[in-house]
Amino acid sequence: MPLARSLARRYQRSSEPLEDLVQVAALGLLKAIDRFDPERGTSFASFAVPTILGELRRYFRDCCWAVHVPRGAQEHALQVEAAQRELSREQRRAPTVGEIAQYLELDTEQVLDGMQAGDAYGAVSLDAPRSADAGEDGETYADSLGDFDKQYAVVEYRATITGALVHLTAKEREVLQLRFTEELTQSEIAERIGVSQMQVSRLLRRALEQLRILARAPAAAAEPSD
Amino acid sequence: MTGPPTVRVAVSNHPDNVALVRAVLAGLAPVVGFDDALDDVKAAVSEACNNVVTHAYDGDEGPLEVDIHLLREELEVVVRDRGVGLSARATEGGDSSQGLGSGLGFSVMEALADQLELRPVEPGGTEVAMSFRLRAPPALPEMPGDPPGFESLREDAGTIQVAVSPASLGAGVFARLMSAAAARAGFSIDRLSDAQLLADSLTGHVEPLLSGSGVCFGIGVGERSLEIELGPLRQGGARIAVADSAIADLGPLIETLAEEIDASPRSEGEMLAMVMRDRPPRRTPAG
Repeated sequence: MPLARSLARRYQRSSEPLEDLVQVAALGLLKAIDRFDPERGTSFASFAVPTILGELRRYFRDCCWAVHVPRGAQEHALQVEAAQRELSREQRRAPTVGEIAQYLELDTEQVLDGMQAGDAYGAVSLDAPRSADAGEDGETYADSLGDFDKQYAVVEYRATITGALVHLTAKEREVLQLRFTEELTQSEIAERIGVSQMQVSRLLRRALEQLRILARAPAAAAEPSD
Repeated sequence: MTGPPTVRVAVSNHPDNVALVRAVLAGLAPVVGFDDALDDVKAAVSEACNNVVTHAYDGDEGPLEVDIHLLREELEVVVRDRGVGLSARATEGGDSSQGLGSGLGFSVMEALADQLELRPVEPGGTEVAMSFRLRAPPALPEMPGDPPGFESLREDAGTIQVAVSPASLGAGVFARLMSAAAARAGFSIDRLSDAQLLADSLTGHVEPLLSGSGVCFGIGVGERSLEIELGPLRQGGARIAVADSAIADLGPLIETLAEEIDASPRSEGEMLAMVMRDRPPRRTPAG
């Protein structure tokens, strides 16, 4: 049983409760005991481990892989985001990953994975129509062209970039300006525009990514088509 | 000389560094498309690394090296140490019939990898080579290459050194690694996000400035600070990277996100060096 438990712990993924895994591993252990042939000269451990791991993997694949793993990651993402808001409010500063981990009783790697997953899922929530198909240039930029706001024309950034800025949403332009022209921290920007720091982080990452894409195609940036 | 697309990682045998190796794998997975195998690869590679951490150096410090080769239908990962050799380790407790420290970790590697081989390293040390068959052929970049050597990084280039070839594979790896390093340095999450932005910007822009087909980066994890090196760039490349209008928006970005930005000359070309610090919290007015 210590063997089964130890393997279950080593193989614990996302939000799978450890006890469930131990049950599955124990089942694998029983199968291994059943099939073990001492006459073949291998040690029991080296025979049992693959059997137990096989059982764990089958469990993941069959009953919960497809549905559960993304949900587990997303759950962590939501927890992390909630913890970040809570801790920021309490401490009046942005928390560290370690503080979030401690608060949620996760390890720092799980928090980082949760943040990563949050970036993947969270990108959709802010302004869905545009980010949902971020890969398709034509449509995605189209809606943002109309709302170009005169005040952003004065963003002192860079000739090519100023041209490209019209391709970003008003909110993206705003966070870029606040971060790189006014040099506010992400938390300060979050407070200023009323979203979470993590949303600011996503807006910045996405806006810069789009500017990079546009920089590679300068013609398109200079003359937005309609 | 060319070879398959390769990522090489060098860290010390400090236990916390195994998480950095996992961050490299996690960053690489979506770029090459082995997401489905990632958990198995991470688990097996972690076992091999932990084995080096616990058994290879007998309490001393020593290097832990991980080479990742992206072949057409499989991922090959070699975990290497420069410590006590195989035979010395086989006699050290555990299940000696396994020949490698404790038998359990080894059994996990054997169960998760499709192939596993143990080899002695000259003049001393051991390497574990594991290959993982990939269900879907990876989306490999067309141009194979040999990664730049770590010699372009400073001797003490920091906690983790990574060499990637071709450079296009570096983007995901560098961003993931920077956030892991920033977390370990105790950065607040807004500076951690800044570290990712910096990594994205650097990998997204410096490719034309590189002196070869590959890229190297070193990250030193300090107390609320990160020392970052990236290159090798061709002569004058660092100045161009920082110069205002030379490359789209890179210059002002680096200057906002990092400090002590400098060119660090090498025998061939130079490295772009910079420091990121977690700023002391600035209180924002309530409201």
